[in-house]
Amino acid sequence: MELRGKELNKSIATRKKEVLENTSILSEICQFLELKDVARMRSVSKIMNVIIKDSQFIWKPILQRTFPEVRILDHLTWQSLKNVYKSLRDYHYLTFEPHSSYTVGIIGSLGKLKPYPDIHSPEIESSGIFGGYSNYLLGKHIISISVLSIPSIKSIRKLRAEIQCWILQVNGQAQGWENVLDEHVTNFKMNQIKSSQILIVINSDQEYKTDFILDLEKKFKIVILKYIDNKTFENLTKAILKICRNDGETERKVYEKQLIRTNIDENSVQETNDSNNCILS
Amino acid sequence: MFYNFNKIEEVKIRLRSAEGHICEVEESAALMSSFIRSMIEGFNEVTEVSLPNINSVVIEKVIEYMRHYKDKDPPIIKKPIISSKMEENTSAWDAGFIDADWNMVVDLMTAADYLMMIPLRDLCCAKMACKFKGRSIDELRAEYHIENEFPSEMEENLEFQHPWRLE
Repeated sequence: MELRGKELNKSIATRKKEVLENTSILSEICQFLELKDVARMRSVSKIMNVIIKDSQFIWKPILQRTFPEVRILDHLTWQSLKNVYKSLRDYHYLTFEPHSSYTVGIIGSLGKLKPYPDIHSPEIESSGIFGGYSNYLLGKHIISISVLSIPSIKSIRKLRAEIQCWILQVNGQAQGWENVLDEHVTNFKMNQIKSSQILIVINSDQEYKTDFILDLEKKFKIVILKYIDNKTFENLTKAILKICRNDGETERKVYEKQLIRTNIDENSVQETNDSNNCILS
Repeated sequence: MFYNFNKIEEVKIRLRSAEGHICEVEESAALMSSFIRSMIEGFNEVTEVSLPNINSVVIEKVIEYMRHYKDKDPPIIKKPIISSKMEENTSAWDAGFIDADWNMVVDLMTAADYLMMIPLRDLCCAKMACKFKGRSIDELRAEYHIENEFPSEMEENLEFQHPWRLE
């Protein structure tokens, strides 16, 4: 009997351990806990540390529940979690700037960004647009950025009031891309979108230096990159924020320099001679 | 001609356990499980459902839950839970129902997941969450027989990086 008791205890202990090492069970349990409890669980064992740290299924719902205003798209790291938590504690979430949310329209596809279909706005819903969210800690503030993929240029007029920055994304390898880009730019002009609000992104493996591009560079901010992935998106975000915040020509030049510097530091960016242009490799 | 509707017996669904035992449950109660519902709706005249992953003790417990909630909605448990005591998180009946040993709660949770019974799965998860809520790291390690695997310098580093985890 004593042996059976010991076996039973052992089986319960093993079972408990199994639960703590099961990602899906842990994820379900964590949904019922507060952020600090989950953070504490991470320190119990190495395996729990790894499971909890790396599982977006655990953090995402908890963070979205704790901070409903913050939409998380990707790249959720322990660091970003800490930032969000610290911001709440140190700066009191409710005292954040009222304009800490920006909407960016991408003409073209979202590239490798994961789409987030749940954007609520009557205008947006009726246009069949989908988009993504991401958030960043800039200085003391969390900035929430919504990125909308606008399938049709016709939506520009409709969404003009809602979007603070437009990204024109074109594929530099497709045939006739210059005509498409020209058409988009004309559409922007027709819809009275300020050139300072537009960021042109050309997806390309090569550096494009056609007369057409050189001409565009005089009026618009142009970024040439291979594709918009999650990492380059962070750099783009900084550029977008500057566009949203500063309309003035002087400040725009400052941001362009900063962007180039940031890109060099973070993404091995090749700086070109032209300060208005940068190539991300 | 008079019909006595009270006497019409409800259709019963036979649930075959991992050991091959048959447990019977009224169809209206069994429909609480989306898995069983899809079996019944997908295949006409299905009266027996095989549950090879669930033992008969757990099936009986699931049936108890199904019968209790066949005519009413189970209470929704708040996320996050407000207390480490189940009675403060849900109804007295639910708290009593889930007051079982660890093995049974884990088995029930697995069964609820398989049977697609979200309220029951949530109840099990909330019960387990109670065991973690507000507990210190040392208490948790003692409870789950886990030795401190972190080297002391890493432990200090964790504390330095995330002092709030200890709050």
